[in-house]
Amino acid sequence: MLAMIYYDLLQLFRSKQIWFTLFVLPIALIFILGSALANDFEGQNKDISSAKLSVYIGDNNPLTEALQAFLSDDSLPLKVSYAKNEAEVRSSLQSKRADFGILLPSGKEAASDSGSQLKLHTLLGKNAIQNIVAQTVLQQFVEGLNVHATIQSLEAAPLANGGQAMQAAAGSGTASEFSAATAAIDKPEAAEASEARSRMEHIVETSVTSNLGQFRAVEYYTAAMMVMFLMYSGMMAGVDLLKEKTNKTLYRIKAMPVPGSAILLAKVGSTLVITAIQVVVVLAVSRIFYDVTFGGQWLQVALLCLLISLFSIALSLLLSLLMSSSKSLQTAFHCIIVFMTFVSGGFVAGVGGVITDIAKYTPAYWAKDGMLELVLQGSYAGIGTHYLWLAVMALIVAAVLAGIYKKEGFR
Amino acid sequence: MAIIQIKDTVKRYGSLLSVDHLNLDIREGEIFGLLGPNGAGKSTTINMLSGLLPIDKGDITVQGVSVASDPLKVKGMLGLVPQDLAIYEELTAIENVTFFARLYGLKGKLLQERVKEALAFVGLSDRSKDKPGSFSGGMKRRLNIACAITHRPKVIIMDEPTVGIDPQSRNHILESVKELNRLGSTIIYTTHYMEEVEAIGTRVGIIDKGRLIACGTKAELVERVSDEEKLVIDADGLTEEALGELELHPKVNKLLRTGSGLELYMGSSHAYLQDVLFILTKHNVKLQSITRVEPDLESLFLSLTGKTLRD
Repeated sequence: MLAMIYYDLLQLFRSKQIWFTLFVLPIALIFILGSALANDFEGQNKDISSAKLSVYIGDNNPLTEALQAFLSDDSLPLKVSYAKNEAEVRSSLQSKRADFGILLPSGKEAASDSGSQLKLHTLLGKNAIQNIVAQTVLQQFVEGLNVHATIQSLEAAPLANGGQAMQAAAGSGTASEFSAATAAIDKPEAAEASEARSRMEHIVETSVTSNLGQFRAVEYYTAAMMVMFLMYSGMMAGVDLLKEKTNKTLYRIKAMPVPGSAILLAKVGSTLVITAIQVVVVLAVSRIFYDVTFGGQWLQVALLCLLISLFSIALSLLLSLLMSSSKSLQTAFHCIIVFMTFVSGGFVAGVGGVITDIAKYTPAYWAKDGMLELVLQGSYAGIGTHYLWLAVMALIVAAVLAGIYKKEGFR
Repeated sequence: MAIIQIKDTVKRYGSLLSVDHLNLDIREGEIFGLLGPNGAGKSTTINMLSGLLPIDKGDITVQGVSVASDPLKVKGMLGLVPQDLAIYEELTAIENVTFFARLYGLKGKLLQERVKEALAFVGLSDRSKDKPGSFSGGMKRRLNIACAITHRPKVIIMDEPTVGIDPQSRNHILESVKELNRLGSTIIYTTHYMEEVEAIGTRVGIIDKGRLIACGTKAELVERVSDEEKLVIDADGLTEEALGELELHPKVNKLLRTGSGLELYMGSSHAYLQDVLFILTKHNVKLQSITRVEPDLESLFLSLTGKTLRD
């Protein structure tokens, strides 16, 4: 088996295409994507310019006075303009005349929406950095109100409930439009409903990929590209096996005193060696040139890489038993990799909703998310889930592979 | 003594019976030519013998070891030269031979010696560091052989090793086969080139539709068609009367009219040549030439199956 691994590697390393695909391309993509999309990730490291705020304030809203007073502070990094209605705010955001929108409905509208609860709606604009600026400033306003609400709670409990709800809602910040309950003034039951609602918003499930500001683009794409190219490396096992079938060397090897399982294991072995070298090269380059450290948890990174590689190798070997040509396997595998990488946010960061739900059924999601957890120094329990899912997926594919091989052999 | 015994072996592909209750003994030290047209069951038989295909019924043993019960041991005793080239284009000649030798369990100094020996045997020593991409078809065929002989197998199976190569390389390969046999290996040589088997085979088995239809030395087999000698006559003025009288001769089995003469199939033609000449002279036929053709394996195959080997 060692001879098979050695000569497999000898052939692979003589292929310029392999060098390009496994080593040059991932590093180049990490550099290109990491540089090009850095703005979407690194807002907190940029010089802050004033965010253009479009504000609509309805009649008789109890917060009108407080909000206007807050926004009139010249020291805030905001350029405020007041709109006549909600549509004007939205139009300003669409045309990029404004970076961020605030809607303060009239007291009547707010009351008809949710009983006596008052709401502050915020609308995100198209510039991620300016959104962060405006949200950060607005949070000061909300926190100020909370302080006020806390003081008032000594006099009136319902107001305190509203304040907590507002704080909780402001803390979530994952939706493009969120509502902040400001106060539950009249009815105690309304305050309870508001609190419950706020809790729900606060407990919105988040994944590390939704917290883009917490790591750099180059870290994100090192993880994403690493996972994608490890899957490409895994594909080589199946492609290689089918090439051996086509050029009849597999026929010859099968006529030698070598068990069939040793042939499969040799393919796994040689591919793992290649992937190990690939991992070391990519990690070293991203460490040296881009300072990507994964929190110094290299062993955990290696384990994630091993699991995604094993999944990919098992899948490619499985397909090689079912398909007749290496080209059809490459096409099928390419589609699988692109699909997994896309849904797991490997190409475009911050995909969410249904796509993220689908991504959770793919190993690419768990591998990439696991690496990003390591960047964020995530808890062992949190990262353990990633290992578990990856291992389960790899085991399922390996079990199907073993079953088909036992029944059909190499066909 | 039989080194290989094929006992009542059956192989089916769905409803197609590829090998039909085949019984065959191959003796130690012989070059056994396995002849048959395409689809006769030669490759299926070879694949079952090599442990590449499961046997549906019956058994095959090599030196008493059953292929079905201990395939790895049997595979270690065999050297298979596949019909198709089975070499790595990305590896040099010496790397190809070394790789396959290592799979046969050779190591260290012995491995190096045997690899050099195999390359020298097939005449590729001076090209050992070149990749097969720069080789001619014949050289690739020779490398294909070298990869199967490093472990000095008891039995070498050569499945149509001369397909698609020039006459010079073919002769080189046929000489190599005889040399390997002289060095002690039993050779099984499948082909549909009759002249190759006639040149090297000590015994011949003819297979058709999965059944062994004849087996023996060339002389034994030809004897079976000794009454299939052929007289090729080139003559002018052949009349219907002359042809009729020739056809009535008790030793003439078949008469075929050709463009400028006729072919007579008859037993012991040398003994009855006088009779043929007498009939032709009597009918004023002007004889241009007469040639006596001895029967060969092709005649035997034709006689047994009613078709030629390359049909």
